Amino acid sequence: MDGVTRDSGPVMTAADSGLGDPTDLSPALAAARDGDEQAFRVLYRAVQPGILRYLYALVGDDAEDVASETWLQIARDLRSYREEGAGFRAWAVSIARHRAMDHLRYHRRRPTVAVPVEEFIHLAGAEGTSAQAIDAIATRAAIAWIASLPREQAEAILLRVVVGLDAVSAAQVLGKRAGAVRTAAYRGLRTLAEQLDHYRTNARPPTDTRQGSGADAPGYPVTRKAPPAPKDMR
Amino acid sequence: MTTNRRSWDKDIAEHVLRDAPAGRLHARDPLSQLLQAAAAPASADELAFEHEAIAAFHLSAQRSVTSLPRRRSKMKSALAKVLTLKAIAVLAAVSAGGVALAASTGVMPNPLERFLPGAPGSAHPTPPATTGPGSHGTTSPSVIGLCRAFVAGVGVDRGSALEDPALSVLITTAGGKDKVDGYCTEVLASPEAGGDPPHSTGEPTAHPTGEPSTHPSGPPTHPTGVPSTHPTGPPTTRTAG
Repeated sequence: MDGVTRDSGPVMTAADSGLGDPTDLSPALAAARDGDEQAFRVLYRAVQPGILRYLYALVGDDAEDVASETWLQIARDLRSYREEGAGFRAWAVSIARHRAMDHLRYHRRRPTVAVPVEEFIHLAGAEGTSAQAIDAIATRAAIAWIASLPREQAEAILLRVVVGLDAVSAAQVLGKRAGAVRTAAYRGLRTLAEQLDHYRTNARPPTDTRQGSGADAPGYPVTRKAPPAPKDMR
Repeated sequence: MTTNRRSWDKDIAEHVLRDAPAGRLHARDPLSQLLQAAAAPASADELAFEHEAIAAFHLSAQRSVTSLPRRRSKMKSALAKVLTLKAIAVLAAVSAGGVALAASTGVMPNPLERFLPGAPGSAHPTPPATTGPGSHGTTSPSVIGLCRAFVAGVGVDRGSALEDPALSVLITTAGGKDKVDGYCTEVLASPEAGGDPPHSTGEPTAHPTGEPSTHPSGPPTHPTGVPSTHPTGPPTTRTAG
C-alpha cells in the first residue's frame, strides 16, 4: 500500500494517521463539555466518518440519517457523559448502534448498500494506485464489501478498522466478550482475503459467505449484492 | 490462491486490525488495500452534517433538558423557545460563515489545529460543500439546520420567531416569512435532509417516531457502559412526540 500517501482529500488527519487514528480525544472532550464549539467540532470530525461508515454496514443508505440522529443525541448527552472505559469513540458509536437498531426495527426493511463494488477492485488493482484513487468511491466500495460479511463479522472488523476501537472496546460496544469479537473479526478477514484472492484468480464472484447460503438471514440488514466480477484485477 | 490462506492466523489478523485505522498498514495484498480504503481519511461529504451537529451542540447548551432538536419539545416557555431558536439560528449562520450561506459555495477555515497534536494544519480544510441554498434543488446543510431549528424550536410561536433577525437568512432563502413553513417542510423532506417522513424533524404526526409503543426501548441516555445488542438498557428519556 505504498501508494497510499493519502495527501488528497483528508480533512483532519495527521500526516501518518488514518481514519480511526487513536488520537487522544480527552482534551477536546473536556473542552466540549465546557461548551467549546471548536472542541466539539474536533470530536465530530474525528468520529463522524467512522460512525458513518460503520452505519453503512448496518443500515445502508440510511446511514446519514442515522448518523444525524446520533449526533443530535451526542450533543444532547455530552455533558452528562462521564469518560470511562472505552472512551468517547466507543460511547459515540454505541449511540450510533442503538440508533441503527431502532431504525431497523422501525422500518422493518433491509436497506441496500448501493455501492459499485467493482470499483474497488478496479482501483485497487490499477497500476500505481495513488492517493487520488483511494477516494470516496473506493472507501464506500470497501465498506460495502466488508458489509457483505455476516453482520457480527462486519461489525467486528469495522469497529476496529474504521472506528478505531481496540478489541476490548469493540466488545463493549457489541455487548460481547473480546475473544468472541476477535474471532469474528478474524473469520471475516479470512473470508475477505479468500474472496479477494478468488477474484484475482478466477474473476468470478465468490460463493455467498452469509449463513443460510445466500438467503436473507433474519436480522441481516444489508442486502447482499454479490460483488460483480472485476473488470481488471491488475 | 497465493496469498493469505495459510498465513492468516489470529495474530496477523490482530496486527492488521490494529494497524489499519492508524494508517500503518502498508502491505500490498488486496486485503490490506481493502482495509486501507475502508479506513481512508474523511472526505468532506462525510462531514456534511457538521453545521447541524454544531447547532445541536449549542442548542443543548442552551437548555439542558433531554430533548432533541428534531423532536417537538414541550418547552414551557414560548419565550425560551424563541431565545433558543435565536441562539441556534445565529450559531448555525455563524457556523456556515454567515455570508457563505447566501453564496454558492463556502469554505471554512479549519479551526482545529489547536486540538490536533501533530496535525499539519490540514492542507485541505475542506468543509462540507454547500451549494446554492437559494435553490430548492440543492439545500445547504445550514439551511437544513435552520429549518430543523425552526420546526423543532418554535412550536406555537412561529410568528414571533420569524421576527427574529437571526432567521433572516432563512426567510430570504424561503422567499418570505409566510413561506418559511412550507419551505422548511420541503427542505426537511428532501433527500439532503434525509427526507424520510419518519425523520421529518419534529413532526410526529405522520409517523410517531417517539411513540413508546413502537419504540419500547429508546436509546439509553447514557450508554456509557456496556451496551447490549439492543438498547434495552437504562430507561429512556425520549420525549414522545
